[in-house]
Amino acid sequence: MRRALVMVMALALATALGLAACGKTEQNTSPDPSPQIVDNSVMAYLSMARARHHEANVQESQGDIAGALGALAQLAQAPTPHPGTTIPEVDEVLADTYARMAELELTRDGLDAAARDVNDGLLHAKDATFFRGHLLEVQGIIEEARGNRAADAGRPDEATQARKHAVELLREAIAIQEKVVQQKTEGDR
Amino acid sequence: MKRLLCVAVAVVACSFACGGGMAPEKSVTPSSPRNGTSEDAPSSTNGSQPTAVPSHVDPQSPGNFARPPSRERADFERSAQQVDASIGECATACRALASMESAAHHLCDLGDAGECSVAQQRVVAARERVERACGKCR
Repeated sequence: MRRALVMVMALALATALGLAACGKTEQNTSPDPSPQIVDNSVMAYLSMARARHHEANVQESQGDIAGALGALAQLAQAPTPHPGTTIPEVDEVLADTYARMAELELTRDGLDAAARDVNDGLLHAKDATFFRGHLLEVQGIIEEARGNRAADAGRPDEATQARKHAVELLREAIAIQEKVVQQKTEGDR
Repeated sequence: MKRLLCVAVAVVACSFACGGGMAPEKSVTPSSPRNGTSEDAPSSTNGSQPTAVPSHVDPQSPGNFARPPSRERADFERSAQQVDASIGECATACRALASMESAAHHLCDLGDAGECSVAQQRVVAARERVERACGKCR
């Protein structure tokens, strides 16, 4: 997953650079109602995001979860280009970053922190995209862990409630990702 | 696998066309229709498309760079867009599949055998679909 994440970011950056290098600024003249802004500030942001994820990779590979979370938190809190403007690439980076932070929190049983990260991430993934599906998947895992923790602590009602919520979230995640797979592979059937 | 082949072909086209298009960038007409009209790439007979170099100008002489014909340029741009889209779509499809697998795994851990079975079937179908379009995910 880490390699895939880095690959996606690299692709986003490469695409942006490629468009610039080929002088293809026609995206700005597209009749698309949501303007695509891929300029130097966006490319710089994507590059910075990639560097932060690499930094987190290194920290994580050394078992330094706090360090990895620190690198990602710096990315999450960094100023975004064109404040007040919705830039899909930026929202995707942030949704993905919060999902990764939540996964890292899960590895050290930080369920509440993980849940906060997911909620923050969902603010950047409102449509039925891979990023929303992934956040819901992580949220389902958090609820599952919460249910297990409640069961271990002798709180069966709370455990049942959390597990039920987990099932709903995981179902929704599967449904979204199934649609994403269908959309992304259309034309090959 | 078709997409991978398409990617390879288009990358070669990209390296050629980008290199050829950069020097004479200023000479490219700004009136060329671009996105959204690529299916109707303008032919060389389109009066609004000054695609031909005037006959008295040597296109290979210094200062008069040969401009790729607009149709070829449109083909290239369409190919480049398809490459970008294809690579990005396969990467996203693979990530979505991994997320599905993880969600199904946790759903199965939660105990409902029927639900687990349905989820696993959906994962298998999605994996087949992704492999058919993109090959195996790494």
